[in-house]
Amino acid sequence: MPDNENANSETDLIKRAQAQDTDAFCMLAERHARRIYLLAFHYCQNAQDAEDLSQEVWLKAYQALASFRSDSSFYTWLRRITINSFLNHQRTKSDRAQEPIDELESNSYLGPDETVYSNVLFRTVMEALADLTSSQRLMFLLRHYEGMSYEEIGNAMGCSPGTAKKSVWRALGKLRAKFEVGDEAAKEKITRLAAEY
Amino acid sequence: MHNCKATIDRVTELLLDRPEARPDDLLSKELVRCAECRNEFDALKETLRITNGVIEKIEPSQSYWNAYHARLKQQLESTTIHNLEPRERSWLARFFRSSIRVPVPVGLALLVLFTVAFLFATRESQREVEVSRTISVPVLFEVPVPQEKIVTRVVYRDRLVKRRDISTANSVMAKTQNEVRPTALVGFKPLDEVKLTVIKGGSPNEK
Repeated sequence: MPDNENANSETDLIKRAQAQDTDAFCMLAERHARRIYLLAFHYCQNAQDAEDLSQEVWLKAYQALASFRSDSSFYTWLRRITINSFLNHQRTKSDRAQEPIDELESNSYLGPDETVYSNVLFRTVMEALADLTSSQRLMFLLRHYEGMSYEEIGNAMGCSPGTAKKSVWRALGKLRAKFEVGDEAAKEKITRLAAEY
Repeated sequence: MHNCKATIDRVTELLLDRPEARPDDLLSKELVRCAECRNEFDALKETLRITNGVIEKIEPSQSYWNAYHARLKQQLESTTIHNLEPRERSWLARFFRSSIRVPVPVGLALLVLFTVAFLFATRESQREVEVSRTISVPVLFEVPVPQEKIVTRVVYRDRLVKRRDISTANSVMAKTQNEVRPTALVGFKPLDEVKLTVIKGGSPNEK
């Protein structure tokens, strides 16, 4: 059993993948695929684009794997490639129309046990995220979902930590405004929604 | 002294890190003291809890992931085959396809350097052309060309006239020649050396 664990350790998988072992790379991808896919999904707001983009990230990672030197964790290195791919995607497809949220079938993304109320909530949050600019959305996801510091976000996106912080706060302000957490009636609504979770 | 801005800043960063995080004692005291900050804390907490909940709730089915990984593996294998092909290319093709990374400031500096060098070289060549034009301006000056003209004159001498009379007659003749210059000699400049050929005889009276 320990031999098997060792054989499947991330370092070993990376070494095998660097030697053009696609199976080892696929095992690495399986470990991190969901996280990368979720980032891509919330960034693109489109399931098909999210799949294309996340697959592109894996292909780029595979091609650049020889340059991975274990200075940082594999996921940190992979996240860097992900952010660069997102930024390139933003440049090339900035004029592409996004799929309207109403046409998203939330049931295909949410688990089968989710209630109708959860579906409504899903749409509300997706609309709120869609109202953000792509940069604001990405910075918000990196700060909140990925737990990156403003310095790390600034380095990854080519801006100052102050700019990154400002974008995250603006995104948060927009989300608050969308959920109407300011007034009392909306506050009750939010509390009720939160209670669902 | 309570500072709403600083408190909200700390609250926001705390909740961004973890929506379910609880404020520490110091922050709790600040929130108890200020209703506005407390409301802000509650609103942000609920906003981030809902957002985070939806972000995490996305869960494609297992069949989706199976298909996803199968597609990825197929693409990886085709990429591996594709990557092996360029190694068989000739060194010339590889040379023309190769590239180097140059930082933007270095690239700009090189560009400026080449531009300045080009302008400088162009200006120098223009200056050289100007100099050569100055040298090639033609200057006209007169070159003396030796002219030679043969003048034949028949002179009759009276042998009976005395030597003294001859010299007198010669001077008179010279005067006459100076005064009456033949039209054939107009514009003629004699050389420093004059060839004079004297032909004796030929007269019927000569004995």
